[in-house]
Formats: sequence, structure tokens, C-alpha cells
Amino acid sequence: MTSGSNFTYIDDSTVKHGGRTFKLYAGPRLKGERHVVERFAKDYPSQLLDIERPPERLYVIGEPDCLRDGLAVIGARKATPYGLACAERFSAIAAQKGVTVISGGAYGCDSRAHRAALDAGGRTVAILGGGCDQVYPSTHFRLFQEIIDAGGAVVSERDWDYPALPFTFRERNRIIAGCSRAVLIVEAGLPSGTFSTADDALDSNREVLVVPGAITSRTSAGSNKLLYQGATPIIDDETFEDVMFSLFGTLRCTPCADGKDPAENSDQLLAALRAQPMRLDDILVAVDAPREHASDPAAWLRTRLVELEAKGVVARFPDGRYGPASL
Amino acid sequence: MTSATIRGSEAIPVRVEVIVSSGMPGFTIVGMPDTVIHESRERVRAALRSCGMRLPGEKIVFNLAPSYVRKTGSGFDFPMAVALLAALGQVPGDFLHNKMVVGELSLDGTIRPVNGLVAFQMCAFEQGLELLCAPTYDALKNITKACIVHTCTSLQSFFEGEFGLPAAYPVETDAATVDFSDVGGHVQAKRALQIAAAGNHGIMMMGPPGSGKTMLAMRLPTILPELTAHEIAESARIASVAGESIDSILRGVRPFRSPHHSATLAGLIGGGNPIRPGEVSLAHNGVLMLDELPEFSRNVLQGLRQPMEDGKVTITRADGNVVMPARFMLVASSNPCPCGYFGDKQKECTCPISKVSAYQSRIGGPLIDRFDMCIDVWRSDFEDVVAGDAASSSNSMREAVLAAREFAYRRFARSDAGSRPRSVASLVEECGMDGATMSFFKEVSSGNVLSGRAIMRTLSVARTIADMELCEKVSVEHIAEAVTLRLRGSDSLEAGGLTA
Repeated sequence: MTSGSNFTYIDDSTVKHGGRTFKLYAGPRLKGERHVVERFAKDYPSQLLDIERPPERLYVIGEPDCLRDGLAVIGARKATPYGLACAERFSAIAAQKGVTVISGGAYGCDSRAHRAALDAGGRTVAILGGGCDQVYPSTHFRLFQEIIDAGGAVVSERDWDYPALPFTFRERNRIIAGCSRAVLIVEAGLPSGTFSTADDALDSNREVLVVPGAITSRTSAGSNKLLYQGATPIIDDETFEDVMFSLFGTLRCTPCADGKDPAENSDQLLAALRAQPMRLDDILVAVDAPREHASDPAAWLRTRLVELEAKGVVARFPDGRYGPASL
Repeated sequence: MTSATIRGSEAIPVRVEVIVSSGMPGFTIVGMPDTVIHESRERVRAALRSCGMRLPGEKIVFNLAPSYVRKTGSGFDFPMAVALLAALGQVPGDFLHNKMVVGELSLDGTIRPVNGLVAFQMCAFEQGLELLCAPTYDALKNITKACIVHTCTSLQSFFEGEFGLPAAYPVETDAATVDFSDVGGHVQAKRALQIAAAGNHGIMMMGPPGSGKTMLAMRLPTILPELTAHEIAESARIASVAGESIDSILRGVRPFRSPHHSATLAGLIGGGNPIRPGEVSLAHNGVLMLDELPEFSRNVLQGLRQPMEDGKVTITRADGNVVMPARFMLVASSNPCPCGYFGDKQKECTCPISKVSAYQSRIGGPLIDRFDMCIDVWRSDFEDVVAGDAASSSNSMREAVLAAREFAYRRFARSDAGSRPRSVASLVEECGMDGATMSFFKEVSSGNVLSGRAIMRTLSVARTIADMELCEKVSVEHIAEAVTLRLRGSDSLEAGGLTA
């Protein structure tokens, strides 16, 4: 392995690596069938051999069979609700079509993609950086257990107890790319781990699908750059289903009716927020209040925002901005 | 002969008795004196000698009564010297009849002021006495609860009968007073502070370093109503006991305390030996600002809960409880994440997402249910900072605050709401929402936007906003504004993908 892989155990709960110390996971273990899939074994996903340095063996909890094929849905950990909503939306569609959703089990977009696939009744695979018994992030223990219980798998190239060190995440990105037929990137900053996964995907000749973002949005800078470099843009459900058809041969089905309120589509405020999440005072500059509220635009805006928030259309972000809660 | 000692933030009267009797020559003090009082033997002896007095070669015993109270401080030097003089017939006894005497002596007979003169003054008033002490600025004037104060510079002038009156604080002509007009931009934040001031709401400010959180908070006292005479007496007494300047309190400015986040529990709520008022008591009738709230240690914040609930601090010691008032408005500030730049426009946040999430959930900490409002304070643009904002000066902002308070007061007086504890039901009644407003509020509170705790807080803030606009009824706009000012809950963390 790379030279960065040296680490020493300090005691039962900490490990030292590259001058930093890391806490080991000490929670419960994931339950499920455990397999060690050797390279050249029958169960080994053959498409993994395409990538540079295919892992010698895979440590799998759950069903090794679901590693054979799938769509990777990945995105930033520090995602905006836009990225999260995209992850949910496309992951759910893929799962409904019976395509396994592969992701990294991280915070943000990854966990939303897993969750949406589970909710849609599909199978999903989480590929971890550290060993499968070093659950990281530890708060996702329940999510991982549900993934296994739903016929999916939690996978790592590392030994069961290998600590989740920073370099392992960069390394596992190549497995995410390698296991999947295509990689869908819902939101990626620049530079970012997601962006590097896209590089891995291109190196191993995988299709790269990208959801575009506002050019002013820092969290979509990586996605937009990939589009510029020629990645396939996913701009709505239709384009996604087309791509899925050509990749996996899944059929396209047209939804009968769009449940959305048509008034919302023409709403200037919503349009502005969809383009870019903003703070209250920025919205006041960007959006004009209707003429009857021109005397006190701030009061009008607050009322509108709270209404939209109550409807679940707009959300207040942890940094105090307002933006779209869903698409 | 009466003097007094400080206990907690109050002075309690102490009688100083002296007997000069035949026996082994000596100088004894009884009645639970502390070390400082024991040492006053030497100071009294030297001071008397410097005035040309000789101590009699007899046994001198001082008794400080009531003897079960522990006495502290150097304020007994002067009364003991005077009592001794009276016992020796050097001073007419009836001169001391209506006096409370407090002061420290220096070896040459000069009288020095001691801390807590305002407390002594109030104690003397309650006893129907006049206070005799060292020259001081710290005296209440034209206030009902205060008595006549005589000052005296030294034992020498005491003999000669030269007494003065407490001096007024020197007037600083170029006193640098803060004003909201110095703060450019921050329209939302100023408005929120105004609401907080009008309704006495606890407010939390979040924003990156250097965005002006502290600057805004420091100006909060300038828009609060002036202290009433009663409040001046209370606040001045506490400040005086703690040895702080009471100049601004005497001018009616509400105290503003912002303890550093390394403050200990005893420093914050009071304690030590002898017991000293803490920051919460010093902030009584004013503002307590907790800058960088998450940096405060958890047990210190936990210790704040009881005083905030009761409006007073009770410190329990082996020799009894000491109660000190602590009714203040709570203001806190915090960075949004450990590095401080989460959400900032210019500078990127470098914190891992798990740290941001942990930090944000820690922000309210044990005091989460003490904040009614939360605002984001962003760094202003250069133009705003330079320009200032003459339009929204403290004076104009204060007028709105006063009007709102007056309106709320009248509203209370008309109904019987003020006499009962505020419950959700009574709050809803107070708000007097019409049908459309009610359904709007229901939609908001059921639609996952407001948690149970937030509903009550939002309503009370909405009520204050309506008061500011002198509206009997809370309208949709008022509710909407209150909702945008609510505390960040777990819901917003989820929206940002900070949780799974």
C-alpha cells in the first residue's frame, strides 16, 4: 500500500497516524453475514479488475452479490439542501428501477443517497474507508445496519478492524468508482473528495454523470467544472432516466401528474432561492416585493419565507441562509 | 457606637463596644473578627498616636456585636478609634449617638474609604442613622433610600470637627459613550436587539469573528430604559460592595457585564470568602453578555440556571444563606463553528462537518431554554462600517423600546394576565390572534418548523413585536418575524445535511 499507511496503536482507543491521533470506534458491531472475497475468487466483482490497483480482497458484511453492478451516487459531506435533495431524488429513482445504489456512507449526500434507496425499497452498498468494524461516521451505525438488513452490503478493502484514517477514504473512492457502472455526482466543491472520485471514475472508464449547480455556488464548483470537461449533465428526471436506460437498460416511465403547485414555478422568490441560497438581507436586494407590499418589503418577505418553510419548500440552513428544502 | 459589616451584597449593622478596665495592659478584639480586623489594633494604635493621643496603660477590650456574625473588612478601624476616644471622654458621647461610622485608618490617621459605602449608607438609613465615612464619590443623593453622609479626611480633622459632604463624580466632558449610530449596516441585528430590549428576551447572536457581535451587545444598555431610583439604589449597592465604579449607574445607565469565558462559577454567580457578588449580581437590572458562549465551561453555565429562574442568587454556607439579587437580560454570542467562518461569504470554513454539527448542537448548551431569539450577525461591507448609521441612533431606537414597554404595561394593567404565570393558553389569549393569523400560526407550528419549546418562545416574541407596533392583536407579519428570529434547532441542522 502507499507510504501513508503507517500507524501505531497508542492504546485500546486511540491510534496515531502522521502526527495526529484518531479515536477508534468502540460501539457495537454490525450484524450480518461476513465474507472475505479474494481477488480471482468467483464472488469478486469482475469490473473491479479494470481499475488501477484492484483490492486484493474485499471484506463484506451482507450480500457480496450486490457488488456486481450499480450506480454510484456521491456528493459533498458539507452539502446544501440542494445537493441533498438531488441525492435523494436520483437515488430513489435508481432504486425503484432495481439498480443498486453505491455510495460512501459519509455525512451529507452519501447518507441521503443510501437512505433514499432504502426508502424506495432498493438495495444499496456502502463502501467504507476503514474496516467494517470501525464504523465511521459512528452516528451512521443504524443506517449501515439497515443497509445490510435490506439485502445490501457494507464493504471495505481493509481488514475488519482497520482504523478509519484519512488516507483510507481517498483510497476507497477508487473502489466506489470501480464497482459501479456510472458515477452520479450531485454536488462537489473544488477541491473535494467527490471531485477526486470523478477522476478515479474517468481513469477506470466509467461514465460520469453530474448534476449542475449555480455558477455562484461554491459547493457546485467541482460539479460544474466536470460538466465543462465533458461529463454528462443530469438536468431533470427525464435525462436521468434516459441515461439509466442506455446504461442499465431500465425502462422509462412517465409520471402521470406533477403534484407541484404551478404557482410555485412562477414564484420569483422561489426561483431566486433555487438559484442560490441567500440571507434575508440579500434576498431583499434580489427579489422585489409585490407592489401592494412595497411599503414594508421585509415584513412581506418574512411572511412568505415562513409560509414556504411551513410547507417544507424552503429551509433555513445552519449558516442562517434560506434555500430550497427540496426540488 | 454603630458600625456595619458587609455580608453578601448588603451591610448589616454591628455595634462596637469598648471597655477600658484595669488589668494587664492590652488591646483585644472579640466578636468573630477576621484577620483584617485583628490587624486593626496596630492601625488604631498608630493613628491615635499620630494625633498626639496616648493609649492608656490599661486593658482595652472591643466587642463587635452581634457576636455570632462573622465580621470582615477594614472598615472597623475608624469606629474602634472613635469608640475608644468616646470611652476615654475625648469625644462627647452624644455626638456619636445618631452616627454609623465606617472607615479604614492609615498609620498617620488619614481615613480611607472602604468598599460598599452605598450598602453602608442604605443600612444606616434603615437604622435611622447618619453615615460618617472617608471622603468618597460613592454616595447616593436625592434618593429615598439613602441617608445623610458626612465625610472626614483624618482623625485629626475629626477632632477639629471638620466634616464634609460626599463629592460628585468628576464630570468627564469627553466621555466616550457608545451609540448604535456607530454601527453601520446590521439592520436586522439592530431590529432584533430592539425587540429583545422591549420584551426582555434572551438573545443569542451568531456570526464569524469580527462581525460586530460584541459591538452590538455593548450598545444594548443604551436602548434600555433608564434605571428607576429604586433600581439605581439596588445596582449601586452591589457595584459598590464589589468595589466597582458606580458612576454610570448613578447616571441611570444600566450595567453591562461581559465576563470572560474563563470565568469560574464563583466569579459568575458569586462566592469566595468573604462572599463577593458575582457577575450575575453585578449585571442586576442590566445586561449580562456571555461572549463566546460555547467556550464557557458547562458547569458554570449550569450554575446560571437557578439564578435566572429565581432572579436571585442564593449561596449556602455553613453559617447560613446569603441571597443576592440577579435579575438581568441575557445576551450571548457564538461563532457558528470552531473556526468561526461557517457560512461566511469571503472566508471558507475549514472545520470538518462533524465538528460543525457538534459545535452547533452545543451552542445553546444548558441555557438553550433561556434564549428566545437567535440572530445571525454577518461581517459588514467596508462601506457600511465607514459610513456608520446616523439614522438609527440609540436615542431613536430607545424611544421605540420605551413605547413598546409602555404599551405592554398598559395592556397588562387592563387584563389580569400579569398576575398569573405565563402559560401557552394565556399567551395565546394575550396575543388575540384573528382567524387567519391563528391558522397561519397553526400551519407553522405543525409544519415541522417549530418545536414544542419554540412555539411558546415564538409567541412571546411575536407579542413583543406587536407591542412595538402598538398593536393589540398579533398579526401574521408579527408571527412571521418571530419565526425568523427563532433559535436554531435540530431542524436546521438537518436541512444543512449536518446530521444523517
